[in-house]
Amino acid sequence: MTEHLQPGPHLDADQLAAFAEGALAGWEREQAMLHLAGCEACREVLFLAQIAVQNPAEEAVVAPAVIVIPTPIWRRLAPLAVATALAACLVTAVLVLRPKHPVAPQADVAQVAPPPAVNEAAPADRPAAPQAAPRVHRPTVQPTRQPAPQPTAADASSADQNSAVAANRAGAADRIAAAPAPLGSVSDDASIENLPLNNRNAIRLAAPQPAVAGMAAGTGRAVGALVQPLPASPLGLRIEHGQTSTGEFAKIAGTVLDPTGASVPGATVTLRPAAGAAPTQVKTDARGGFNLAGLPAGHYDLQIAAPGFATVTRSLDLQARDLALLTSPLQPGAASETVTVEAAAAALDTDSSTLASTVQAMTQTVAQGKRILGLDPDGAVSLSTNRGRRWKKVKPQWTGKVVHIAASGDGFEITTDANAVWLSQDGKHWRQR
Amino acid sequence: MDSAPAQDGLGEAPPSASPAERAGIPASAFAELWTLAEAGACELSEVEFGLALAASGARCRFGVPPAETVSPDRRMAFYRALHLKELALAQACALGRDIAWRRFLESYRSALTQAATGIAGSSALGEDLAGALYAELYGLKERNGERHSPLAGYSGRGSLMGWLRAILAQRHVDRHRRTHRESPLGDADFAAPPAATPASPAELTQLNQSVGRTLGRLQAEDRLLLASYFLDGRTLLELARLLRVHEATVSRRLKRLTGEIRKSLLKDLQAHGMSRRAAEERLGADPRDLDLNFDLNLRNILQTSPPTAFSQQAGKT
Repeated sequence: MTEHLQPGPHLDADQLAAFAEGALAGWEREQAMLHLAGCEACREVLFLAQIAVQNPAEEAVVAPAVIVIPTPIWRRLAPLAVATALAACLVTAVLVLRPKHPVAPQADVAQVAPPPAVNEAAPADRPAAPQAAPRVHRPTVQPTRQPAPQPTAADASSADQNSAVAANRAGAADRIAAAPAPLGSVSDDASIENLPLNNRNAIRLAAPQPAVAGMAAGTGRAVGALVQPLPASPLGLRIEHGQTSTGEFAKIAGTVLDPTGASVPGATVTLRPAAGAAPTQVKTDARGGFNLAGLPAGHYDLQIAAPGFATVTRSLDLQARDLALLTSPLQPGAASETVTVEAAAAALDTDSSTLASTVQAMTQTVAQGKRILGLDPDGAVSLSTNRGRRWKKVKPQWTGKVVHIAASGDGFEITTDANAVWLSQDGKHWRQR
Repeated sequence: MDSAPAQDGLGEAPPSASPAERAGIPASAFAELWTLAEAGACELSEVEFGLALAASGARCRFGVPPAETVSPDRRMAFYRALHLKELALAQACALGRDIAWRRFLESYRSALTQAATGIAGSSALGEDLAGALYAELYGLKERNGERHSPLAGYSGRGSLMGWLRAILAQRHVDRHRRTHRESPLGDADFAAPPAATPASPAELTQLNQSVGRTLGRLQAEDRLLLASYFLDGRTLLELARLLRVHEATVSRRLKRLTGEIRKSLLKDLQAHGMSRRAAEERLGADPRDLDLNFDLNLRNILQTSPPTAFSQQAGKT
């Protein structure tokens, strides 16, 4: 729209170029678009000029477009603030969701499964003994973890609730797992609540609420999640009384995990009643979970087996309407343990075993960083690209046997029995000197 | 979008003013711009550079809307955002400085020829186009007895190469229109509307008015998008490059726009006495029929400026 190029109200080349490069101010860009929307001629020129932009040689000449109006500082800092906020959220999420047991799940379970001796009441002033200290949660931990009753109509009988809960605790004192441990050894992190129960956590924490409400309503039902003493077994078990709604039956729900915390699907869970009845057997689902419902009160032996893992067993007593929540971190099977081995799981790494013998038989090795070149007594050369973990025979491009290998610069050098010297940078591709 | 008259801080400096005063900025800031532009290397004097800055700023009101006053800070921000080196080079070339021309040819000759080839579609035509533009840029054409170079019109807001491409495109269109006759579109190019019953003249008038009202309510960018896509037949890729968005974004916007236009048209037609069924018959069942059914309407309404600009220009260039 200047007199230089075109008469009339058309966009001039300067405006077209600035528009195409996004260098116009907002209001000016708006006006330019209004004009372009109605002016076929200017659109034609604009798109025609855009055709030539695709040439990379020209792009090198074109400087990046510059925004005319300076952006306010707060707007320029906005992306930084958003990024910072996201990072803060991420860190918070990591801190909150981070497993509180930095050690393996086996160690976790051991912490909540103290030897029976430590279940006895220990004097508070007993000196802390790191090895024998039962790092179990205090019996009072569970009640404190129950959600506080909401300020509803049930508040009117809160005193009754407290007394009822206290009575319930007293009545079930023999079922409470551990006595108060020495102060130095008691840790909330070691409590069973922190075990990776996957989706069972929600049930466990939400379940007490209706029970407390039921108490407030005067049903007299036994409430309060109580923790059974845990034997020296890698099973995390928690029994909540009066939590099922299936008549007078109890229920067991659990998750089978491997040492890394991943779920183990297809594990076999066998529940044998002590009364000699037929055992019940279920398989864990894709998330490693299982459910055994409709169980009469009594003594049971629970066994969990999975291919490649050590079988774990434990006994438990269930009362009517008990809900047993269980987490079983399975350990990989050892030679001395009972391991169920299935045919499909018995695949051997024949490659590794073969090459391991190769490594043992090698008479000479030369290392270049991660790459190791080995020579066996037969004059064959093997190469490992991962510091000797795996080996692969080098296809000989030479004739005869290799009698000597050596490092050559950054690569390797071999000498055959015909005195031919071959060089390679990577150990795979060789050329004759 | 013509340049606004001198007001609101855009007043012209007296002839005896210093270069910094001409540009309307402090002397220290002017010295900084002078250094950044490397204007001395192009044999451009400070006065000439100051005049170029002032002309560039006045041409587009320093990027400030007409209702606002140009503050010194805004003026300085505008100057800093310019392609100062390229502005100095273009001004020096327009003034006929040999060293500037040498630098210009070194930097842009190859790219200009390639761009001309791309625009013209053939190497021979492209070289002709580029050669003609060189002559024009060098100022071989005189206006009112004075040597005139289009490079004097470069403001420095966009890149010099982008400006050269736009000039090339304009010249190519001018040449094409000088040497070719526009062939009218055949009737077969427009598909017949699928409506079963032909529209009466009154309905067509109502439809035209409704389309005008609906399109008039669209934003400028949406109108540009519709016109480029439906009238010019531009591809999604071309539109995406122009608007600096992804092709999928353009596609989604077009789909949304056509849907909204259809809804808006239906409402508008019903609001003006047409039954819904009749309105739908006029529009067709599919929003994508919009470009078929209303191609002429769109062209009439969106194409507000007369398509004679290049024809007029053809006789003058």
